[in-house]
Order: sequence, then C-alpha cells, then structure tokens
Amino acid sequence: MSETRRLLDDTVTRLFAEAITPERLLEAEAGTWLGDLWNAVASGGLVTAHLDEAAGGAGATWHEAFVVARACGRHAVPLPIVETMLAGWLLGRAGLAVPPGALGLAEAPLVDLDARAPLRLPRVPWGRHLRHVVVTAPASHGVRIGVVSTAAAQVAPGHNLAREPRDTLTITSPHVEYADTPLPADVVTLYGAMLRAAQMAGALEAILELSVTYANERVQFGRPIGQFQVIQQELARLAGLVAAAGTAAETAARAASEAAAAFTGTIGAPADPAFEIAAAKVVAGEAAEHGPRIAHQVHGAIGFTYEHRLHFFTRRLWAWRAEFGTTDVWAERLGAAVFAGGAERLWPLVTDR
Amino acid sequence: MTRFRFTAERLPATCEPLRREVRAFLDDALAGFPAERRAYTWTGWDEGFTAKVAARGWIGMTWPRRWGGHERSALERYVVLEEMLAAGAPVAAHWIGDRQSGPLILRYGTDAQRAAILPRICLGEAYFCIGMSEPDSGSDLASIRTRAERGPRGWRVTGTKLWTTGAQHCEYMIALVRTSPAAEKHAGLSQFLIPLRSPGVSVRPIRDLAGNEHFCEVVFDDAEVPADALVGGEGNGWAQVMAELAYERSGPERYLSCHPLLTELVRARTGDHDARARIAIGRQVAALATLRGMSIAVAHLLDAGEHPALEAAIVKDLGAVFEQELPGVTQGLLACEPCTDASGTAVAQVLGELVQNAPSFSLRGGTREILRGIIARGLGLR
Repeated sequence: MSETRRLLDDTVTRLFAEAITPERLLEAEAGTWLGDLWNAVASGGLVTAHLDEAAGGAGATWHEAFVVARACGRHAVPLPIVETMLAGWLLGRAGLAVPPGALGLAEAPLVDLDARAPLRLPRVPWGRHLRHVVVTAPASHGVRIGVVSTAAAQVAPGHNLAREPRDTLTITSPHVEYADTPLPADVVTLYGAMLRAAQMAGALEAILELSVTYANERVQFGRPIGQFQVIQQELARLAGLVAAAGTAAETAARAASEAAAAFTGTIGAPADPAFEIAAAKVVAGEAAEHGPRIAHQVHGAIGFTYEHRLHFFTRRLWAWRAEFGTTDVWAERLGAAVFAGGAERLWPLVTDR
Repeated sequence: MTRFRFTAERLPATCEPLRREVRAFLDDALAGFPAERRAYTWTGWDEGFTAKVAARGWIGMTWPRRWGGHERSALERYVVLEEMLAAGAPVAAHWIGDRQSGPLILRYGTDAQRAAILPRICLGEAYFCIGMSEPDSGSDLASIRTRAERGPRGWRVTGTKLWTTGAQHCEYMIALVRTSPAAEKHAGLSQFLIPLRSPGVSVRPIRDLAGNEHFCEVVFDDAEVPADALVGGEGNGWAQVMAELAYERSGPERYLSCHPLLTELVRARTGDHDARARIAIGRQVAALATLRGMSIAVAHLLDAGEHPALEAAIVKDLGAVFEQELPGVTQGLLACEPCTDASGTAVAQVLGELVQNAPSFSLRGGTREILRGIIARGLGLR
C-alpha cells in the first residue's frame, strides 16, 4: 500500500469511525445537511486528494483515493463525497476551475450545453444542498464537461432507498461553462460505477462485521448462534462475496489509475479501465443481491427494524447496485465485448491487462 | 476491520515474454487436441506432454538448480500454470509432484531424498499421488487409521488409502499415516514417501460416475517401507499437511476447471445477438477475472512468505461455486443435449464431460463444508 493510500485510509477511518453515529445517520435521513462533517472532510483534503496540485489536490491516484470511497460505504457516510471527487476530477480534466463545496453530477444526453435551453437534471445526488453541478454530454470528440450554478434551479426532491437525496433540478436559463475533453461520452456512468463499487465493497464489509458480531453475541438454544454450523456456513459464504467485491472494486480503481489520458471506455482496449469497472460493478452487484439476504437472515427480526443499524448498509447496497448501471447492464456490456472478440480473445481479455 | 488480505496485485510485466512463450508452445504441442479432452484439464494424463513441458524447464520452476529446478519466481510459475489450464492442457502426470510433493520434499526432506527425487520430477519422470483420505476418514482427516510401525529394516505400513488420484500411474505416494497410535488425534501423524511398486501394496482404480478411472483405492498390507522414507519429523505430519494446503487451495486450478467450456460456449455463440447470452457470459467473465485477481493476491502472499490459509480457503470455495455454475449456464443458453460420444458438437461434448465432473469440484482438496468451517474460524466464529 502506498504511503498516500495508507495516510488517506487512516484519516478517513479515524474521522468516520468517530463522527458517523446512528444519531447522525438518522439526522441525515430526516433531511439535515451534515455541514460540520462536510467541512471536516473537505478541510482534510479528502475530496480533492486525487486532483492535480494545480487544482488544489495532492496528485493522488484513483487507486489511492479508492480507500476514501470504500470508507464512505463502510460507514454509510450520508454526504456526496464520491460524487464531489468525480465532479472535481472531470473539471480538472476539462481544464475548468473547481468551485468550492460539494458538487453534483449529471449526464445530459443530447443536450447542447451551449444553447441556453432549459436544463433538466434528473436525480442529482444531494441536489438540494449543492451550489454547483457538473454536467456531461456527448461531444463530437469525447465528452463535453460543463459546470452550472444551481442558484436558479427548481428542485423536485426525491431520494433513493437509502434516503439519500436524489433531486431533479430544472434550470430554465442556465449558464454553463464547459470544455470538451477526450474521455468517454459516458464517463460519469463509467467512473460512477467504479466509485459505487468501492462504496458497495465497504458496505459489504460492514454487514459482515455486524453479522459476525451479532452471531457471537446472540444466544439461542443455550449458545451463541455463531456456534451453529448452519450459521457459520452462511457467514463464510457472505465472507466470500465481500472478499470478491472488495478485490474487484480495488482492481477497477487501480485500472482507472493506469488509464491512458484519452481512453474511450472500450472493453478490451489497451490502457482502458472499462473491463475492470464492468467486472467490479457486476461482482459488487451480485454480492449486493446475496449478501444482505444472509446478513438479515443471521440478524433475524431485530435486523428488520429501523432501530437496528443494519439497514443503513443493506438499503444502500440495494440502491447503489442500480445506480450508474445495474448488474445486468454492465454484464451485458462485458458479454458483448467477449462475443465481439470471439473464443480466441477470451483468455487474453482476462490476462493481458 | 478489513479481515482479508486480498489486494489488487498483478503479475509482474517481466512475466509477459514467458506467457507468450507458453502460448506458442501450447499452440504447437496441443495442435489438433480435441475440445472434449481439454475438458479434463489437470486430470488429463499424458506422459508425452509432461516430457515436453519438462524439456522447456516448466516443472519445478521455483526449485534450486542444485535439485534440478530452475530458480524462477513463484509468479512466473503462476503464469505457466494458468496458461496450461486455460488451454485445457493434459498436465496431470506432473501436476501433483510439481505443486505439492516436490515442495514438501524440498521443505522437509533430507538431502538424500531431495537428490533422489526432485531432479526426476523436474525431468518429468517421477509421478506422485497424495494418500490422505481413507474409507472411514474423509473430511475428518485426523481420524486416519493407516499405521506405520518400525520394523527390522525400516517401517511396515498397513491400511487403506482412498480416492487417490492417479495412483495407478504413479511411482510414489506421499502418505499421511499414524506412527504413534496412543497420541492425541492430531499428533502421532507422519508423512512417508512410499514407492508404490513394492510388495504388499496393491492399487485398484475406481470407476467414477462418468465411467473414468481417475482415482484409486490403495491397500498397504504390511508393506515394507525403507527407513529413510519418512518425510519431515516423526509426529509432524499434521502441521506439514496443513502447510501444503494453502498451496493446494488457491491456485488457478481452482477456477479454471471449466475454462474450456467457457471458451467453447463463446465460440458456439460468437456473433449472437441474444441479450440473455451476453448477460450470462458477462457475469461469468466478471467472476473469472475477479477470482483470478484473488488467486494472484494469494500467490503474492505465499511468495512473500505469508500463510494465507483463510484467503486460500475463500478462493477455493468461491472457485468451486463458479466452476460448478458454468455447466448449468451453458445448458441454459444452448439448445443441445450434453453428450460424450462423437454425435454432438464440441461444446456439447465438453458440457457432457463437465456436467458429470462438476460434483467433484467442491469435494476434492477439502469439501465446501470444511472450507467454510475454516473461513468461519478465520472470521472469529466458534
């Protein structure tokens, strides 16, 4: 592990372990913006570490920043940290200034960001709390990356299953500052999937931890239920899912670190992280399908209550597996590339990376 | 809080010329080798192929030159193994000696044992099998009853080993036997290097459900074994066997047993426009790439002298689930009948072999239940 990565990991773990309590999570779910926590995260440089030094960052790689995203999942941090990380990185790549504060992300297909036509941005994470949203649209060469103020936005509030705000913003006369850059047109989906996979890996670690602790404490038939083989076998299965999701997510982040400056999001192309990202979202999505079932089964009825904190993680897993492309969307993209390459390219696709 | 040491490692770039070399070798050595025979991968026995692999220096790759080895890195060896398995090469004849018996002798054997055995493994001449299970001892391995007693000229061994893969072809068995009956269950066990073509040893192949004869029953009837056949310490057998298992459980053979089927499935449906097929294949390839990453992470830990028993158990458990799923996935996508005669297509024949072999994937090398017990202990349960 690199020194930067260890430092980031220690910092986020210390910060979140102390600051994220069930009470704070309830506050956030009730609609409060945890401004003090955001300030601690921002002043610690956690959302900017991976930006170039010119953009106020520390020049860390995605592989190093991975530990921040994973910790956000592990602690169910109710703030748009990974969204701000990605939005800032996109602005940096486009040569645009990164505004202070939390940033939103939105894809605006087929919208000409230049014409001041009304901009409708669906399900922007934490939209109501933001001052700026980074918007992307396909460009003739790569992607158009813009930044727009939300000062005049109309907000239609919404939220995902984890009660994280997902607000639809409508800006009738937007002023978008933008630039085109040679990145995939769907770079938000692609890197969003990479970051969600990292968060999912963290949330899966959390449900394993909670389940093992509960199984060792809960006594039935005169002994901790963790002594029953049937419970042990199920938790071992959960451990496998957690380990696989973690490996796949970290591998995707490493691939993003090593991506060519101008990559196209083509699975199988050299120095293109699309293969690893697709695999990570599929593997994390499958773990999010089976893992929460095991965790809830082990916890019994108490884990089904709002009072118990297991649901902070399981609801996030159910929400996140559908965001930035469902499991099947990514599986199909991967499968299409495998068929296009044919039988002789299958094994090299896996190894030649 | 992170319980597992799976990190995103990769094989060093210096391995890539070797990978190309192995691919070129396999293109040549396996030209015309039919898909249904590739389905056997590391249970396919072909001494001629093993001789060719030995001639390339790809057996005993990591061992000292002094003992016939080639002093290459464990990660270079990993590349050779995964390329062989992905191609469905018939590697069984040297597989056990290279993976398990040779390293055991290298670590615990005497110089005389090393000199007598290791160079012959490297030359592809000495084949090994592993004597662990017995009729009454499967998952409860420490309950074995085969015993060795000191005799006038060495040891005398009596008992029965079961499910011993390849014993009918092998010159040697590394057997776990009881040397001290009074001792506590896990103590009093020792490992012996037993020449199988000796008086008092009989080997009987056992037909498996598919009609193949891969595993055997080996009966020792007061068989005389030389005094220098003991490998490692007397009474140290259990610890030695446990150390072997991390190597046995995390290698590429734990997720590539069905790879020839995946290859044939892609070949059969290339150009297909069925979303169901694309999704199914995408899920399989995502799992394959991830298992490979996990297995390589364990290879790095082993290379660094760590003891990743928990991680190795996870790789083997997940790998077996993955390998066992693929025949069903294939059947779901193809409107063909699995077969083992020449009436079917290549993919139907590979499917026919693997549908029948798949149950063994979560039995051999430690059952699913034993592995999950190890994982549960690693999690802090019990």
